[in-house]
Amino acid sequence: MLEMSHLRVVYGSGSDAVEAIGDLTLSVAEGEFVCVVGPSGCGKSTMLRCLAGLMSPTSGEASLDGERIAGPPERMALVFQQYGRSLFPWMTVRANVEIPLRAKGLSAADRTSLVEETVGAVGLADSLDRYPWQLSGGMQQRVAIARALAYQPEVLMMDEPFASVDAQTRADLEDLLLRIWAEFRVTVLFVTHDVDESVYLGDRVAVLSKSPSRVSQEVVVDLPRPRDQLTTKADPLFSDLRTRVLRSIRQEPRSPAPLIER
Amino acid sequence: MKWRGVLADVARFGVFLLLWQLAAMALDSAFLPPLGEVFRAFADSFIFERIWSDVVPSIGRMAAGYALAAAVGVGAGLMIGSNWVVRRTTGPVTEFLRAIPPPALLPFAMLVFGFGLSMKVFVIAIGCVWPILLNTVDGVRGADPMFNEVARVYRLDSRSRLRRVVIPAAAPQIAVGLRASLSIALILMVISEMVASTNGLGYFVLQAQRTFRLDDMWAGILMLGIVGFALNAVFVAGERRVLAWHRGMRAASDASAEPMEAVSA
Repeated sequence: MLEMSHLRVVYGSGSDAVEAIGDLTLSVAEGEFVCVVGPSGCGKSTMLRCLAGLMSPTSGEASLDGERIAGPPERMALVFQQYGRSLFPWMTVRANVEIPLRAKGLSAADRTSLVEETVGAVGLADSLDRYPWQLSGGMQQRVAIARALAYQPEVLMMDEPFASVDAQTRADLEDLLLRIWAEFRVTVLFVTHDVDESVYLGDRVAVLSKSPSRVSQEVVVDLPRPRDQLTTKADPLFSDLRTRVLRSIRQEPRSPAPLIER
Repeated sequence: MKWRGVLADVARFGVFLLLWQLAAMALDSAFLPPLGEVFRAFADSFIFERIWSDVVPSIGRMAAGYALAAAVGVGAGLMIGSNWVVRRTTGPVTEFLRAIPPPALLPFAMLVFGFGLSMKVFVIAIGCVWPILLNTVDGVRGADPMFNEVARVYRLDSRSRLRRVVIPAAAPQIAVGLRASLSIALILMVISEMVASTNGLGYFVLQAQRTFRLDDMWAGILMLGIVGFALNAVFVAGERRVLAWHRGMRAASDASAEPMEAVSA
């Protein structure tokens, strides 16, 4: 349903040109939970920006349901890493979640019920009339997830959404996300730099190489669901898989070629 | 707690009045009449005879000029701020125009508009528009680009993007400009009335001085001080209401500044 074929992104031109994405081909099936991991600076965010229609690739294409992505698609929502900046501080939680629905042209009654359903699903029904800056980081990110869900996307993309919260909150948010994914039946593309997180969450993990990036390996995660922070992570299969993903990241030859060998 | 602060301010103001009175007694000068005479003149003039003939017209002119400047300044500022090409084109011109002291335009304004209301409104507006315009431009440009990305991802149309994202994001900076212009409006109101008017507070102060009614002159100055103080107080109260989110957000980020910084670094 979500496809990238030979995606290539070059920033700048001439001698200053930086090739962020080399040749990226990846597809995500309907209902699937795919994680993308890679070293920092490997073009993960650039990839998401292309998929979200915020920028166009230099060559190759991204498509959703066979339609080429030229601008932000209606059936796609994006959760940013910087929760503190992606929510509007002049709006209450309710208004933040509601504003994309206004843009969609939903009636007031539909908007209210969607807002209350999704904010309730992330456990913040009591905070509907509070402002984002009155909430903790983890709560703010839950609001951002509720906003994305209320938008009723077919594809939910997340850009290192839990990278800036503490470990305990992160584990809670991961489980919340898995619950929501099962309940709302969305397709998820989840970008992270955390190998454990990718294996714990995903049906499949795509490992990106250093920039100019391409998919260096895809690992199918056949861990049983529902997953659990304790039992899943204690499963020998879990450590097998994380070792495979980790090795794939480590073995990836550094580019450009090491200077020492000159 | 709050009342104690107000009382302390009143007491400080009382000390100021006391010093004035002492200075007036010590100098025994016609130029600095004792407070009692100033207050008597103030009561004679402004309770309530000249409220309608001078104070209200002054405030009316000021309000008209200020409102015009706010509408033009915010409107043009939003346009310039959100459009790179317009900004590059207008940048040097606005920088130059704002550098011209507005009273320098008085002769021109009198030539074109005569001595009536429109001349004063023009002068007040032209002086007030620059801080509002430039702050609006800065507010739009300085807004977090992330807000715009969120608006694009969730496909807000340009109208609601402007109304619900661009304007609120720039609002704190716009308020800075509006507040700076408020005192400029008062100054230009007085100047324009001193130069060409047959009523108004500026006219009253100058006329009193020319006819050696120095107690009236001081009463007029006192009234101008009160008007300026009251307008500022009203503005601040309005700003607190409208931008409550901004104060709250700043207080929240000050309280947690260190951990927030550590996380985002």
